[in-house]
Amino acid sequence: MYNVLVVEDSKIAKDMVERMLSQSEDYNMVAAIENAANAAIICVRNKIDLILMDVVTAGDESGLEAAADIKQKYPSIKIIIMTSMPEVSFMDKARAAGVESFWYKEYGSEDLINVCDRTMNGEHVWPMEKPVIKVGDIDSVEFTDREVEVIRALTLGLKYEEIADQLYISTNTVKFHIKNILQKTGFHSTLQLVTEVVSKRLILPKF
Amino acid sequence: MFFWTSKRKRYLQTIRDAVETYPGGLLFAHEDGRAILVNRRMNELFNELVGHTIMNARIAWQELEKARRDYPMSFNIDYLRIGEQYKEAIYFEMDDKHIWRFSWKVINIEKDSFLQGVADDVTEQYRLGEKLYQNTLRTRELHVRQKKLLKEITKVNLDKELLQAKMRVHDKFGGCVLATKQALFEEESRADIEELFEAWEGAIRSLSASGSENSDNSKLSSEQRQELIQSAELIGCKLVFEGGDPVEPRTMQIYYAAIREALTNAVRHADADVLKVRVTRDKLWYKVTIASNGNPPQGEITLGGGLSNLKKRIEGEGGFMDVEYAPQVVISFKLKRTDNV
Repeated sequence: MYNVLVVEDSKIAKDMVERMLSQSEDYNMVAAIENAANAAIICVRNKIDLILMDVVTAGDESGLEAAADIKQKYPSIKIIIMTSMPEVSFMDKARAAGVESFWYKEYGSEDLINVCDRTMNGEHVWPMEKPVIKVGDIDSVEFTDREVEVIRALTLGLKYEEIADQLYISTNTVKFHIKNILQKTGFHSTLQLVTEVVSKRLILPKF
Repeated sequence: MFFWTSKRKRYLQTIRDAVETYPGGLLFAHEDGRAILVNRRMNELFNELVGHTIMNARIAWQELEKARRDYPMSFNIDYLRIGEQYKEAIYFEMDDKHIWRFSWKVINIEKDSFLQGVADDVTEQYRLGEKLYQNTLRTRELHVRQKKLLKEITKVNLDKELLQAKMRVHDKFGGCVLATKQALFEEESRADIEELFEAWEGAIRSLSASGSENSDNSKLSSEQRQELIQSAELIGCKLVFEGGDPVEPRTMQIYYAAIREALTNAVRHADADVLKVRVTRDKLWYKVTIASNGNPPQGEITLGGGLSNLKKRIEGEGGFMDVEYAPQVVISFKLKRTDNV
C-alpha cells in the first residue's frame, strides 16, 4: 500500500481525490493539506510514497516550487502535479522540477487513479497536448514562444524598455511582437490582452 | 466370467444412476452423433424446445441452433456472457421462466472422440448478471455526471470569484458615493466640518481597500497558522505562538517560510518536539524569535542552504536575521511593517 499526501486547496477537488483514494486498496492517504509549502514538513517524519500536488495553493504558495524542493530533498517520493489552470508554462516548469507525472483536472481524458497507478508502476504520465484556450480571435497554441514571453512580461506590468531588457531584444522588436499579437487576437490594446489571458488563467504571473 | 459381467453391469448402472440424478441435462454421443447416454432432464428440455427427444446429438445441436434463430430471445444475453468458456453456448428461456444454457464439446478418450452435451439452469446467474449490468450502467452514468459536475463547479467557482471581486469593487464605489452624497447633504445643512471630513475619510478608506484586505489577510494568516500547526503535529512537534502574526501578504509569506525552515531543522537535526514562535511589534518592525526545545548543536554550526536563503530573503526586504545558540538554536529576525505606513 502506498502512502499518499494530497496538496489541494479547493475543497471540492480535495473531496474528489480523497474519495478516489478511499476506493482503492492500493493507497493510504496520510494527510490532505492546502498549502504546498507545508508538504516538505510532513515528509520529514512520514514515509510518503506519492504526492498529489496542486499548483496554485493556499497562501499563494506554488506547488511547482514545493515539488522541486521535495524532489531535491526526497528524490524517491513520486509527485504528480495536478492543475485546473491551462497556464502555458506549468508543464515545462513541472518537468524542470523533476516530477514524475502531470494531470489536468479538466482537460484530459485520463482518470487520476490511472495516472497514480501508472506513476507508481514507474511510468511518467504526461498529457499529450497543452489545453487550448480561445484568446480573442485565435487559439492559445497559435502564439509563438516569444510572444508568450512578451505577454507574460506585460502581465507583470513591465514597460516596453523593461521587457526588451528582460528578453535581451530591442524595444522595436518588443513593439513588433506586440503589434503582431494584437493583430492576431483582434484586441485593441495590451490592457484588453492582459485582462483576457489572466482571466482565462493562460498566464498566471505569480506562478 | 459371470462375476465380471455382473460387476460391469453394476458399474454401468451406477454411471446411469449418476447421470440421471444430475440436476442438469447430460448427453454423451459418438463422434457421428449417435447417442450413447442421455439423461431424462436433457430429453425433457429438448422435448419442450423442439418437440421430440434426442436421437442424434449432432442433429439435436443443429435443431437447437435453428430454434434459436427462429424464435426471438425474451431476455438479454449480455447478462450471461461474462466468461469466455461459454461463448459458443445457446440460451433458452423455458415455460417455467427458467433460463438454460446448452453447451457442447468433443472429448477424446484414447483414440476415440465423443460428444458431450450439457444443459445448466443459469436462472440465478442471469438475475445476478442483470443486477450487475444495471449497476454498471448506473455507475457509468454517475461517473459521467460527476465529471460534468466537477467541470461545472470549477466554472462556477471561477465565476463566483469574479463576481465577488466585482461586488467588492461595487460596494466600495457604492460606499464612496453614499458618503459623498451624505457629505454634500450635511454640507448643505451646515453640519460639523469634522463629521464631513470623517465621512470622506471613510469613503476613501473603503475605496483604498486597506481595511478589508487586512481582515482578509488576518483570516488567511489564521488558516495558514492552523495548517502549519497540524503539519507540525504530524511530525511530532508542537507549535506554540505568542503574539499576533504579521498581516501584510509579503511579510506573512516570509514569516511563515522562516517558521517552516526552523521547524524542519529543529525536528530533523535536533529532535525537537516543541517550537515556540514569539512575535512583538513596534511602530516600524515585527520582531520574531523562533526557539525549539531540541538538542543543542554539537560543535560549530554553519548556516545551511535553507537558512542562508531565508537570511537573504529577509535582508532583501530590508530586514535582519540572526541565529544564536543558547544552547539550542534560536532564530531571530526583524521585518519592516508596512501595514501602518
